[in-house]
Amino acid sequence: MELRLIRLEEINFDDTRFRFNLDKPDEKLIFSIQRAGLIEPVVVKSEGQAFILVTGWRRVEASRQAGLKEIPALVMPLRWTDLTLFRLAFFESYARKDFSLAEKALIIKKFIEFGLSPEELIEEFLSRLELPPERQTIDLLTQLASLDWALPSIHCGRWKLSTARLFLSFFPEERRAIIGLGETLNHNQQAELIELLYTLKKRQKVGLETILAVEEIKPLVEAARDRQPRAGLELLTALRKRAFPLVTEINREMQGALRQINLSGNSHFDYDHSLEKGSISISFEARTTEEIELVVEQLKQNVKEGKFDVLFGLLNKKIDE
Amino acid sequence: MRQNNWIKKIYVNRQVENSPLVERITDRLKAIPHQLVDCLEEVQAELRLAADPIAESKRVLFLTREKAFIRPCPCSPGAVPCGYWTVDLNLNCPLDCSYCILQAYFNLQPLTIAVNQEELQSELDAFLAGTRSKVLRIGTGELGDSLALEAISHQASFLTDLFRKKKGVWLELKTKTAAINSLLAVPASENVVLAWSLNTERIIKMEEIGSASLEERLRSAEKAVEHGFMVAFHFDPIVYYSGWEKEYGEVCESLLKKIPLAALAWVSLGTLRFPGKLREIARQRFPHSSIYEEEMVRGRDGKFRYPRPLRMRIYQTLAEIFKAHNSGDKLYLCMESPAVWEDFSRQNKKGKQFASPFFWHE
Repeated sequence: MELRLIRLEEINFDDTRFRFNLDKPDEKLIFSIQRAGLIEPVVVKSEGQAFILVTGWRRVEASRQAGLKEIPALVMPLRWTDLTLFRLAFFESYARKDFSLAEKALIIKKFIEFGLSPEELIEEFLSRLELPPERQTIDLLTQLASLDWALPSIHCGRWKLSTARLFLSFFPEERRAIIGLGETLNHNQQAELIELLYTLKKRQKVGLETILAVEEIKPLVEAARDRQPRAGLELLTALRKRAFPLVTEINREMQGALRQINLSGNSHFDYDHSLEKGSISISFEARTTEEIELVVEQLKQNVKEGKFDVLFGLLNKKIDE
Repeated sequence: MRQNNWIKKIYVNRQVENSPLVERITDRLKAIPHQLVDCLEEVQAELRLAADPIAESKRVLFLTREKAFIRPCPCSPGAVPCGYWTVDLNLNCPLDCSYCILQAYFNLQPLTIAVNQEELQSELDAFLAGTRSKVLRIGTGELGDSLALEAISHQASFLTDLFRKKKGVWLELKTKTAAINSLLAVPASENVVLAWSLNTERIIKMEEIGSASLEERLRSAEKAVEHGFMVAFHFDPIVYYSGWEKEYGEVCESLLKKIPLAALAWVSLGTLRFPGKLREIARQRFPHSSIYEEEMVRGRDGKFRYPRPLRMRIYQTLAEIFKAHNSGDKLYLCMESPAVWEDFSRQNKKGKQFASPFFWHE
């Protein structure tokens, strides 16, 4: 291998065969390069009149934005195969970077393209990538990697394998709709959004389009697509209400019943919102015996008026079809 | 019901190569290729390459030895335990139920038969000598169907003979099959209970792949009773769907019509419940199934269940049918919270202490 300076214009940026890092250069890196130049050489492969980047996509992009014309590069021997070079690129990043699921998907897809067998991938890489060492993991992530339009969102959303698996069970046009809805949500919220949409779709045996066209959902969908602040969260709330109608309704009635109870002393009521426990807990603050007596009297009064019967009735509600 | 011809390969642990049971099984399954291996990992390396490793694990048989067989049944944290013990001579199950917890519990576990079953005798004697319980219930159906491999292993009939005359111990053999021929070939034992998981025909067809039909299960139960065995039934999981009330009601009525009360040991009720991991697996493996998509809440044990009011309604609906046939006292709930137990006991087991909800403890 040879260390030399290469001109940025000599790099063929269209050839992304070795690229799997989806991070973009940040301000700090660009600023550092502006001040000190690029110190750590990138790795390139010579092909025809151009160079193909093997490692250093983020550094090269930062160098370009910092206004550099030339950067140091290690030019790898021509006899090295693409698989050898990709293995080098992988291990160059492996120790210092937590790969996102989207990056792991790209890594697996590219290893397959470079000729690594599933057995070798399972043996050598899947556990290192903290993935289940099974053939079906390879199949799933190869499928995910083929959705190049979705990978930046999946990368930024730090999706988990379970979210990706559910996402891939939607029809292709539905996947596009989902990516458009989740842009303003964090990764947990994105996972919940996909979970709720999947549940409603299966339960109602309809397409995603039908779910999103429901009267109270539609305006929230449009607002989420426009990336309006809080629109994504409001959409999640509306979907939860549809997915959990029984629990939502009892909780709504509980809130109304709790508001009817008059108690002083900075009192606080709590209960299990999943309704698994049929009890309530009551807490209050008191600085004197008189204050305690007052709260006890108020409690008695509320009991007498049947307000707690309403609460317990709701918590232990008998339902009909 | 599945026959043995769906097994595509047999792996034999080299340590048990000369075991008489290995010889008998490989002789019975002559047409199926078999291979000696040094350890389970060798089998797992093959399973890893399958498109559906869980389905694949149900098609390969692993004959090996196990170090121990008796374990406490792992109840859910926060649920009322029933003091059940398991004896596991087999691991994994050839049936493929969409809701089966074994999909999430096992990791690349082939259908496994412990061929050193004779070692259970001494373990059981030591276990019984060390236990303080006056009455024990122990069963084989937790980590696999008790009878699904019976035609090739004959382990249920072996256990029946082993437990015969063990005072104060109930052996329960739980199945979704009709494979009772080997048990009909040995004398019944008063402490051996043959139990069937029951569900509606709709759920059996849609969700319990490879299992016997409802009619076949009930017919087998009738035969078992005629032979002298006590029988038990598990409505587990009860699945909520449009029409559940009518269809589960019909199953209960059918059971109560066919099985004499005196032969009925117990009936458990348990609604569908599952950890998130199982749902993730099952959604992928059973895309046609929608049982995971009803309204569910996540409990403190991390498992998803129907909301408590719905569970109570389901339990009470079925309990009323059993009570109408004077068999309400045969019922218990499986893996339920104290809140549900209290409510259920209040409505169905008046005068009995909640502290001991299971009638065989009384």
